Amino acid sequence: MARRYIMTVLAANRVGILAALTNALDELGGNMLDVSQAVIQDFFTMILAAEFPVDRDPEVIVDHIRAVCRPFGAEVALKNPENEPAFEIFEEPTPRQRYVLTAAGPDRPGVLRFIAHRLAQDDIILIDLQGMRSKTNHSFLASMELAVPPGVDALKLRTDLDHEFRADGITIALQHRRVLAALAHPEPVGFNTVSPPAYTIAGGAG
Amino acid sequence: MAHNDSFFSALQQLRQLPLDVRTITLGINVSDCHDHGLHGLCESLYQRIISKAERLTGICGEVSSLFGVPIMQRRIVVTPIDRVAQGFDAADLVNVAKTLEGAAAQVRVDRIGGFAADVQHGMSSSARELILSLPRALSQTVRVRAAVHVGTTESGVNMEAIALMGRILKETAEADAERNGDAAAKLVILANNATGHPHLTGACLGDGWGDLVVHVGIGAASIIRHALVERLEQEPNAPLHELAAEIQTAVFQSTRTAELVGREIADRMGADFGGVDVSLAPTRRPHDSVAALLSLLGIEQVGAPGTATALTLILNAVRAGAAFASCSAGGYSRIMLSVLEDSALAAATKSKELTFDQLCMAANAGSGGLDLVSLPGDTDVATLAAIISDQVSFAVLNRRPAAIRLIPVPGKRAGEGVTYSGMMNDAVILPVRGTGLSKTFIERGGRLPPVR
Repeated sequence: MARRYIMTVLAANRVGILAALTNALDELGGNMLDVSQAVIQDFFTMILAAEFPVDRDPEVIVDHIRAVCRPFGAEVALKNPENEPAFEIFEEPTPRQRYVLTAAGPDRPGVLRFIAHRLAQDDIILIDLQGMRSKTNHSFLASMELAVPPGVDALKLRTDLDHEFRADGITIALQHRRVLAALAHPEPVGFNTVSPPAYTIAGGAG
Repeated sequence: MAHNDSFFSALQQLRQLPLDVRTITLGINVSDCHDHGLHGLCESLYQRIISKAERLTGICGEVSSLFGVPIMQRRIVVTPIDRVAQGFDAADLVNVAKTLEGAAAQVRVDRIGGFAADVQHGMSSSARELILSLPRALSQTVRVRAAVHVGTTESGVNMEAIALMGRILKETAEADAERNGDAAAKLVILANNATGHPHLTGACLGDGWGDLVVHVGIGAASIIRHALVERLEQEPNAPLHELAAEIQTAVFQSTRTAELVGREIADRMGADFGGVDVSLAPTRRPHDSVAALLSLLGIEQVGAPGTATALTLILNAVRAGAAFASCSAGGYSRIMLSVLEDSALAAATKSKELTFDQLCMAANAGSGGLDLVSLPGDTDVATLAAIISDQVSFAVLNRRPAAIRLIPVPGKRAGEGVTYSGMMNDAVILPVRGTGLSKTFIERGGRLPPVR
């Protein structure tokens, strides 16, 4: 049985960070399972799940990785899933529908806060979030992939958000993932059978 | 997390597209509903339609909300009635039409097509009775749409049938005189009507489609307009091929959307998915005029010189976009210049710049026939037949389909305005030159031999 850790790394972006990190994992006998990274305003962050041999001392793992990352000025955080309050993993009887919500327009504080609260109200899970602000004219575009539970009227959600932001010139769009896929993929509809996996919830994290 | 510019710029382009679907058409096979008795036939038609179509409206609503894509119109088409209702007279066939009407009303669809006759080679007695029933059938129903198929490139044109249709068209309009001849708008005359994909008007369930099929018609007028307006804001002097590229992309997007919606509905209905009708047609919404796209391109009023060129540009772009978008795109797409349904076209009739002859020319550059054109009520029957036969001849010569809908408005003359309820706009009747000069030709009857 392997020991699994979830790790995040935050550093000013430099060549070599990933090389050093993967060296360390190898030296520890570890294996990377899932990984995702982003670079924002020249800072690099990564979140990954890695597993290690069960006999590897957890303190050794943590110290070694931190040591390897220190020359890059990187901060490392590790979490052991076994130490988290028990995730309740349950299957929802009806799968959630995936939508992409986008907001764009002149930037002002409080936009994401309002949206986040509104999503939580309907038990909508945020699967992915990206946002960008223009350097030239202070306008922004944010995109959120949502997993919406059955019974939630996606159009009403859009109308509510539109109502809130319209006066500030911020536009809201909500499109079903399958519509965006149909518009964007080269293969015709019906042949494009790669649908997102049914989303399984672990706990109440949104 | 792919935080990069190209992701955002793609999203910017896609996020606010005014996507919609113009029509969902459920094709129901009723050929096995035939019966020697009228009551048995009507009962079995009614039950067949109800049982197959009762979930359609609900499912269209669900899928429309799920995807956030409005569906403008729901329709049913059945096997052509002249085949199903054999051996009945015109009076009985009026009852069949009413049965179709009742069934369509019960399942809450907007139109029901299939009250149709195929007479391109000759006319069976059942087909003749159906044609003779049309004035009453169409003036006494609302949702029923009728079609008569009069000629093809391979079989030639049944001129006798066209002569009859000239008379029937007038009688149909006169049977509905209080509504300005509205009933005639529900009758289409077809040429080269392949069974491949049902066209907007005159749709029937063609041969070989199985028992239950869902077809979808794209809604492209809004999205083409959106694309052209955006592009012209950035580049007011854009050359024609760049605008063609915008149209092509917009049609691609509408075709993909329509197919997604259509396939999902077909799936939930337990029906086959048929095809995507990639015709460009107006809807009742204010910005959905096809003719108004011409003014965006730079033809200030539809009908002016350059109209056929602009239509050709649009048509080529529509076909290119649709062909790549879908393997089920209809083999023939057209631009519907439906005078009474297109707000810009209807307005153009009031301007005195648009002439009937310009409409005939435009009808051949992609539209496939004069559509919903109101004519003076006193136009003689032979002239009506000759107008129809000209349109049919163009189609047959050019090996493409045509669909012609004319309304001779009872009691009104050229220059007078007409008003209709429902989907149609107010318009002014255009004068037709050269009336009364075709009688001898039309009265000869017979047929046009096939085009070689």
